[in-house]
Amino acid sequence: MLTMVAERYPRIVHPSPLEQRLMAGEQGALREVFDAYSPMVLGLCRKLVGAEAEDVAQQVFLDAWKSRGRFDPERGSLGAWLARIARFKAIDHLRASSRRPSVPSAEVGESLSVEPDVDAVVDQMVLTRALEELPLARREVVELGFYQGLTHPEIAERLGLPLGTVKSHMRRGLEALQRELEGSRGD
Amino acid sequence: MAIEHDLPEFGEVAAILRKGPSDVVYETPPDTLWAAIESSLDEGGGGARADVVDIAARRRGRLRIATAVAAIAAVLLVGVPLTLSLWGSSSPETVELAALPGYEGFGGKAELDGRDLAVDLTGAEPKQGEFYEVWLLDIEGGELRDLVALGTIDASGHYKISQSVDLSRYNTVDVSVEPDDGNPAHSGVSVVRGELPLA
Repeated sequence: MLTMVAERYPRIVHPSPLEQRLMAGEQGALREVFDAYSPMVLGLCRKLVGAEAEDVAQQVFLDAWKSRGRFDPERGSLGAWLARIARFKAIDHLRASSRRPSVPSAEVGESLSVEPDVDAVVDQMVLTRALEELPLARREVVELGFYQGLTHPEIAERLGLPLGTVKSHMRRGLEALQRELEGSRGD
Repeated sequence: MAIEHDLPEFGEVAAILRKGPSDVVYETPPDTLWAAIESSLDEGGGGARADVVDIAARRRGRLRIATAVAAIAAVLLVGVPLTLSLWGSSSPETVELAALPGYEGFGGKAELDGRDLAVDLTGAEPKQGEFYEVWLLDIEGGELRDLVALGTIDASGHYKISQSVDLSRYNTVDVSVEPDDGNPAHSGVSVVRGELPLA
């Protein structure tokens, strides 16, 4: 039986029960989403728009509820989807208020566009969060490879793992991160 | 950088990762934030108001159903006697992992403490090009509804279960043998399994 199920899941896509309840529009689902994700959303909005973070975060959750039918768990987690909404709400807000984003980019030039700054902040947060959600072994391999710059053989030696296992962990880890990044972006 | 050359299709992810961890600081929202959202939903009408009170009652109902389903599923799915032994009724909970057909001689135990899962696997000797992987399964109505990967295991492993995983549903610990082929899907070949007490 498990073989049959595994064939139905060529990739690991596992919408959480909360994601399922949100998609179904169940009573109380938005409150649960808020409880689980508001620290992330508010922190992200604070970084992007500063003092008006609460206003933008409110828009994020209201939009999440209204557009819940468009959430597709195969394109990324609920957290990535909320980050996607925050990305666009922050851009709208910054354009409307004609302010510079509170990200360290102003010295780069006089670009009128806020999207590159917002995108960079959101992308980095989405991948940091997705990395923290990886199974420990995959997380360790990716962190050693990218945060510490070790090569595959060096990681294998550091963790005492076969080289093939390190490569497998790296590929699986990066696939998961890629999926989350895509889920946090527009169509 | 060797890693980037090895996996060129992940170039953008790699570039972002190399910037290091994000400095976004998670922030506990003030009570007024949810109140504002709830107020806006009420104004919008359409029955979208998020009622906090209903959640607990619904969870209790789901738990009762899930308890019955899981008990049936354990018999239908596993096909071998599951030795379920709980040592103490309070946290942490420990369950024996029973061998599945074809993998007699395998065994182990899983201990759940909050969202920390410790798994000990015995009798396992992976062949060249194979490894073992730990999963949580969501079984309902005798069918596997969903599954989530926790990580690889040799003889023992510790796993942090994400808050997004509802342990009242994903309560079956499964260890599979996986070919080292880079495919993250479950191989369909499980060696041991055990059912945790429902949260």
